[in-house]
Amino acid sequence: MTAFAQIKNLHISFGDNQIIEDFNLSINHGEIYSIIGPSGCGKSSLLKAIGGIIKPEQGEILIRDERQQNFTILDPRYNSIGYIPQHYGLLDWLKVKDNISIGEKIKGVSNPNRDEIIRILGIEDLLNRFPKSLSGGQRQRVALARAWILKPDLLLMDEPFSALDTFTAETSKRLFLNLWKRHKITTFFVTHNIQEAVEMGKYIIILSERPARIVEIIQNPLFEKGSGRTEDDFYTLAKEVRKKLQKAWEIII
Amino acid sequence: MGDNHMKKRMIAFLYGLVIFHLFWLIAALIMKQKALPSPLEVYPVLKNVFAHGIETHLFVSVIRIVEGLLISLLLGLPIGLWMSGSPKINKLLSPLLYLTYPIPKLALLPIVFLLLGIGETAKITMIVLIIIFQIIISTRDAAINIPHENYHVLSSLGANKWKKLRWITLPAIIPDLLTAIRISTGTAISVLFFTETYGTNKGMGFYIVDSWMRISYVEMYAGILVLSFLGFLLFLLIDTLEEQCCKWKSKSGDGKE
Repeated sequence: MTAFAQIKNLHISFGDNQIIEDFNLSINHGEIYSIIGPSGCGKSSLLKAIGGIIKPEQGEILIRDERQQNFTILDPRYNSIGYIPQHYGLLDWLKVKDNISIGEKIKGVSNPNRDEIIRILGIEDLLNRFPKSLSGGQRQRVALARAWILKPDLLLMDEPFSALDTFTAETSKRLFLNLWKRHKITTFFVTHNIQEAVEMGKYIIILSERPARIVEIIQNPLFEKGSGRTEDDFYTLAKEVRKKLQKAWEIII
Repeated sequence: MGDNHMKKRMIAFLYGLVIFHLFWLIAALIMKQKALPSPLEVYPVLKNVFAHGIETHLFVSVIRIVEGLLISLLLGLPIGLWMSGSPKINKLLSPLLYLTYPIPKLALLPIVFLLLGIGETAKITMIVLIIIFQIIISTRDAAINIPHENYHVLSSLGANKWKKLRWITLPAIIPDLLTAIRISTGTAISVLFFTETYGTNKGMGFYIVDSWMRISYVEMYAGILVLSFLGFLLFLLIDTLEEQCCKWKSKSGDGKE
């Protein structure tokens, strides 16, 4: 299988602080990558660099150009990137419907499946409301719709479930996977929660402490099976990840 | 929500109007002086003063205020945005801003007149001097408080800085900007009145002081009434705009009219 995108020799630093060191990854099309690392290790910065929000000190992110049959440098102006920050980044002064279509407006495109996405996410009744009047779960679904409607080449989610209560987070994950099964968008999903990483990721990328490097990439055999949290396999894998993290981070979790 | 709210405000407004005129009437009855005619004498004259061209004075004053306001916005908005965008510029200009902000601008009137003459330029400059500081400060503070995540989302969409300005910065600062304008417009009208007593034969300030000098108290009161209504109308206009633009700020905002 040829790679869909590649991250080559990526270094990120703020001033003298090295955040990400020598990050290399070959990315397959239509897969979910969970990135797990200790707090403050630079996971968010990694995501921002991929999304073209911050400029890496060194290295490049390449994406396959189907028409030219080669790789071009990922550029948010020409590629479509769905970025969902931790607090969703909704524009408070726009109604939900306008927030959802901000990507379409800026890119000058429109998605015929718009209504379907809105229906699957269950936000039809919120379209005329302003973000401040929504609950955390509702805001997240709006952010998801905003990203999804663009049919992005890459979807980047920064701890999308960490600000939600357990039940809302479960519903949100289910909704996300429902959408993802219909349109398999290549997704990077940053978390510090082991169970979430195992639940959501076909590939689990373990990062070290700052400056962050890849410690290991685990291919998750359970992901395709879609097994829930209750199965023994799941706990075995979660335990395995935990052990690797303990070793890598040299801390007791 | 809208209708009910408007109704409440109208009732409060009418109530205030009745009380005000009641006090005025009582005071006039007690004082029994030519210098304080009762509203019953002043209101019938309103018709006449309009017939005698008070509206040209009113028009000139309105134009001066609008010009002052527009120039303040045109200068203050970019300066405020510039300061919010660059910590260096902010550090450089902030001390100057804090030093000049508390100076009572009316005290600068002689200087402005000396430097710019007593014509239009000086009058509008006085208005700008008063409004612009409010605009700079509220623009800067509102722009600094916009969450970075908003910009990140647009960056990832490949938006350039003009698109960020149009979709994020400007809409986010509008409510604070309107508040600043509403607060400073009242002061601007007072100062305008003052400047219009010099070197002009047009404007509400001139009209009122001219009537006063001619001991035409009823006309003077009519002028004061007209100027007050102008101030009130401007206030109401900005207040309504503010309410329209601030719906998104309330937690219960369901976006319904």
